[in-house]
Amino acid sequence: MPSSRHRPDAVRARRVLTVAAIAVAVAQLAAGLALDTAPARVRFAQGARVLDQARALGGAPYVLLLGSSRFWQLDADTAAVALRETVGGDGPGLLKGAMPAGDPIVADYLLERLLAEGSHPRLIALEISPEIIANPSRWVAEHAVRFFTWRDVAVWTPEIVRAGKTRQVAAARFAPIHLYRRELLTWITGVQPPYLRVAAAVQAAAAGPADHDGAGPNAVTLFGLRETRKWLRRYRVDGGAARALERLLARCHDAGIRVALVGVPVSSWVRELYTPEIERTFGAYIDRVSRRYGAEFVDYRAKVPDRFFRDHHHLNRRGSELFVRLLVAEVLAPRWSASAAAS
Amino acid sequence: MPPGREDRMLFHDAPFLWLLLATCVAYWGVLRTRRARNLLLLGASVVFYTRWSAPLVLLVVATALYDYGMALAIEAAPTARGRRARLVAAVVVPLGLLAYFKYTNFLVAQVWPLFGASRPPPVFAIVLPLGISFYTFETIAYVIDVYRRRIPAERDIVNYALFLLFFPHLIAGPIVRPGQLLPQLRRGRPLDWSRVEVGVRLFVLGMLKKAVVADQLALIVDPVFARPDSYATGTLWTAAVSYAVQIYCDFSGYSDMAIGAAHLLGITLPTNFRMPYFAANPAEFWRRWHITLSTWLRDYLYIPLGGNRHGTLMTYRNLLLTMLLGGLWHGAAWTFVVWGGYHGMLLALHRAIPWPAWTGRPSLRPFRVALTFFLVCVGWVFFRAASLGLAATMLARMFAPAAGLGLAPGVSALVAAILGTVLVAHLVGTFADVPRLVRAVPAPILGTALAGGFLLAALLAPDTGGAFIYFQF
Repeated sequence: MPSSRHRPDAVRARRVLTVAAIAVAVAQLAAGLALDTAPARVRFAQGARVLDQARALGGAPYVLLLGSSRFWQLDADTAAVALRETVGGDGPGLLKGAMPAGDPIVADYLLERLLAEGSHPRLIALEISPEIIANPSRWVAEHAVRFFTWRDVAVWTPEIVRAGKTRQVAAARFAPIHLYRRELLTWITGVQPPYLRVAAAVQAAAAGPADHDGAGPNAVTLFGLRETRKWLRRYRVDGGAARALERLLARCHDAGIRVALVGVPVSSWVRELYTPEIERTFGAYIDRVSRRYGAEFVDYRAKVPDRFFRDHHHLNRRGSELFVRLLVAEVLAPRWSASAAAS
Repeated sequence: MPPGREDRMLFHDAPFLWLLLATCVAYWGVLRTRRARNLLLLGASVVFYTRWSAPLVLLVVATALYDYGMALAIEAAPTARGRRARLVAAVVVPLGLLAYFKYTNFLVAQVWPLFGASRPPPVFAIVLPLGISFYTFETIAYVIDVYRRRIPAERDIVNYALFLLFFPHLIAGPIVRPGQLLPQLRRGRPLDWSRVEVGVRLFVLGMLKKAVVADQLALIVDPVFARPDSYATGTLWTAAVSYAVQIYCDFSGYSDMAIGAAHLLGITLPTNFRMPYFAANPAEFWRRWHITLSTWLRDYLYIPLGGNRHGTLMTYRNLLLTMLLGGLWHGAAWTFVVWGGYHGMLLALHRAIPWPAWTGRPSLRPFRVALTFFLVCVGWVFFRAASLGLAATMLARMFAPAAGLGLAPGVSALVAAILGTVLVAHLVGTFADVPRLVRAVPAPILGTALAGGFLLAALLAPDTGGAFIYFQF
């Protein structure tokens, strides 16, 4: 009598389970490798859109805005019109390459590809703030999902671990079929899911967070402040984000692209989190890289009052309009004119 | 505050799969004694529940401790009167907790106008403990079975706590009887790879039902049930039938995963569904749908009420009462009460009508099945609608042709394909010898198919895929 372990049905069951486990592992690995080599539009549609828009500009020089959601929410059309009016003539094209979770790592990724494609940004306004270049990068998991390959993950592993993002990055690497299901389905079928849709009945628009009315930080702001506090804990500027910033500045320096590092407006509650120690570390770093690569730092962090914010560091509509005016008049237009004259 | 998507532990999400895998490895690979394995399962169950609600795990544990002690007290009572008094105490406390957590706001809302209050009734911030409806019924079944001397009171507190907290069935059943689970927990459980394979097969089948069918159909059902006044009659019927299939695949998918997960640990949980939409009458439907609930209601409510032993009228009363309470068990809302009453009425009518003999012909079975499915679909409108008003609007527009928003042809075709697939699965499950068919498939092909099913569920799970419908009960 064979033992239960060696009964024919048990042997068959183990074979079935072994094949199933191997098939799942192989499929996940293959899907991950396919995604690593896929066109940027598959995993990083927002980045691919920026590259497409740059191609549409042809070979003409233009102004490039790079940064996170704080720049992304600015109205690029308004900025372009204002820039044209200020500079005169046809004015330069303006390309918004900012996007949510867009730190110098994303900016460097985009610029590398733009230059490789022969694009000609003449002036770059790059959003900067202490937290966005901190080590570890809080957005390293987002980068891993959007454009890291296996090789990148190997390089970034220490920072991924320090940022506490191991689980998210492991999911992207070891279970890509689930994590990238939307991207894979869109890639395979050419149509974005969901595929079952009904025409929606008219619904009342959901209310966004209320603007600050002078009564103190709202709930979204309080949450954001807690996150920023975590971000600034044990502040260091020697990680991947800083390295990416320096790579970007070096590229610009070599290509003759003028760079303005724009200290992005934040509320007074965020500025209170910038301790003197953080300010010293940040200031010294920005000063060093600006001198080394010929960039300029223009500080707008304290230029917009709290009532123009909808949370701790995102401007509301009026705040965006105000900042766009300032950015165009004080940063973009004079530098564009100067660089145009020089060229 | 309910846990966010990142925190909660759904059967088809990675955290649960890791917990299950780690438990299986430690259970079969490291631990050797029955007691150590039971302790591990108890620990895993507490971890599982804690991910949903850390403080409320104390309530489940307290309930388990209370009825563990009360069952021993019932058994030790020297007189019949003492036994009865202790049974009442054993039943009242868990039922009281269920009533407090689940029905307080509902009851206040009902009695508030009776006192002439002009303001809206107060709403108390009471968090419904997950699974309370299920484990309350299990613990009540236990003390009643001990009282009736069907089973002895459990001496081992670990076994009893595990009976109640065993994570595959803790949140949404199947509702396990003590006589089904406790003897298994007292026995040693050798590793049987064939059972593990069956467990994995069931688990993958459940994932497919949940992610590929139920969560996809929800994309049609949810917006239509939210605003039935905006949609055309055809769309409303599509949504009603889709909901019938959605709730079946959601709940039976959950049950398959629960039963599959238990198989991986060498434990058998009772069957909960048996091709319910092929029932040919309402009584048969309830013998195929949520079987562990309907048999619980039969054994612990309908029969104690007198069942069919006291004449026709009393039988109808008992049927209606049982189904009304069964409806209310699902949720504290009039929609559930009406749904329960509707099914009670169907059962009573089915029993009352003197059906001519020819209607029972096998050749007419498809028509009886279709009629039963139609009646069940109408009932689901009450069950799914957010209010009686919305249910009435939906039913009125379903039965009186109305214009409104429709479905795109491609979407209709996709819905038809999904519903057709479920129909074919019902046919296969009813008429084919599935275990024999599975045995005939070569191992490499079966293994690849299992992997394919798992990956398909992972690929097609919509972003909006959420908790199982029955978790709210």
